[in-house]
Amino acid sequence: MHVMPALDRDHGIEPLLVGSLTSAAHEVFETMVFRSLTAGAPLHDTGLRPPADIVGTVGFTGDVSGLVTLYATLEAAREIAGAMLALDPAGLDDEITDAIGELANMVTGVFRTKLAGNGRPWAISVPTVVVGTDLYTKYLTAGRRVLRSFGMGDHQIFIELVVAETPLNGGPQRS
Amino acid sequence: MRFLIVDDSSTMRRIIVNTLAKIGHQEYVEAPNGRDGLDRLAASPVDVIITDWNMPEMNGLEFVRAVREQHGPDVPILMVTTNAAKDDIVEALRAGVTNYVVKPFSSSTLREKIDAVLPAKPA
Repeated sequence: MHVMPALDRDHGIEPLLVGSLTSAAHEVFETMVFRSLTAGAPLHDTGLRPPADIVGTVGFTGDVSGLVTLYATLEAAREIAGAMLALDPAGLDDEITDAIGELANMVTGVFRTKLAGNGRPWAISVPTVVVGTDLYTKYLTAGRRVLRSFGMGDHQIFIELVVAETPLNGGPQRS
Repeated sequence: MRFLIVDDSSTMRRIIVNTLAKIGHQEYVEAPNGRDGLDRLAASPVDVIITDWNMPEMNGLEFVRAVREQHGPDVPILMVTTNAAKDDIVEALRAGVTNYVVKPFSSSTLREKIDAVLPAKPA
């Protein structure tokens, strides 16, 4: 039974996962935001905190479990929402949160589809979106992390992939 | 032509409304989940239903099955979702979905899928 290798002790998260997530980001942004992204180099297990006022997170589980997190400044998020909704970005408020959540949902969904090509089942969670200042995420489960920046015109967004070293639910529980 | 748009994401509802407007359809009602969608449908009939899969309260499959049970097989239902696996599509079709759109989608793709499920115009 083949299980996709997710973690390489020497190089962090397996390149196929990183490449699939990057490809998913490009596809979603071009199709739904009408923006091309310029991907930066992936940063493995970095302590870097991307600048963000809004963070959208979606969990996934399958051969591996983890999280996909999208980080954006308010200005970038406002531009994204305006493009998706065909509305003037300056007039948007609550719409921004939902747009970022839907964007994270779609990026993770495409990522999941790319990984599900081997026929094994995958699932993704409902998106969680947090709005604030100087946000960062901290994971309670041991895992490996890769962060990638994407240039989007005058803005920069970040997408992070965290892969758990053990299943997020800890596997079957026995009394 | 009157549409019912069922999706917990206001963003996705707006994107679908925008696409409908581009192709000349201005009449629609929105619902944030399947249960509300059934209430809307009971209040007044529609010509086409566009629904998401993953929603709170009542998900898309449960909603589709309920629509078929309560309103019969004739109203076209288009499912718009990130669930792209073959098994997902088969499950949706078995539940009573007429056609399927995987996110992300271009407006032209959504338009083609909507046109494909619209009731045939009388000769």
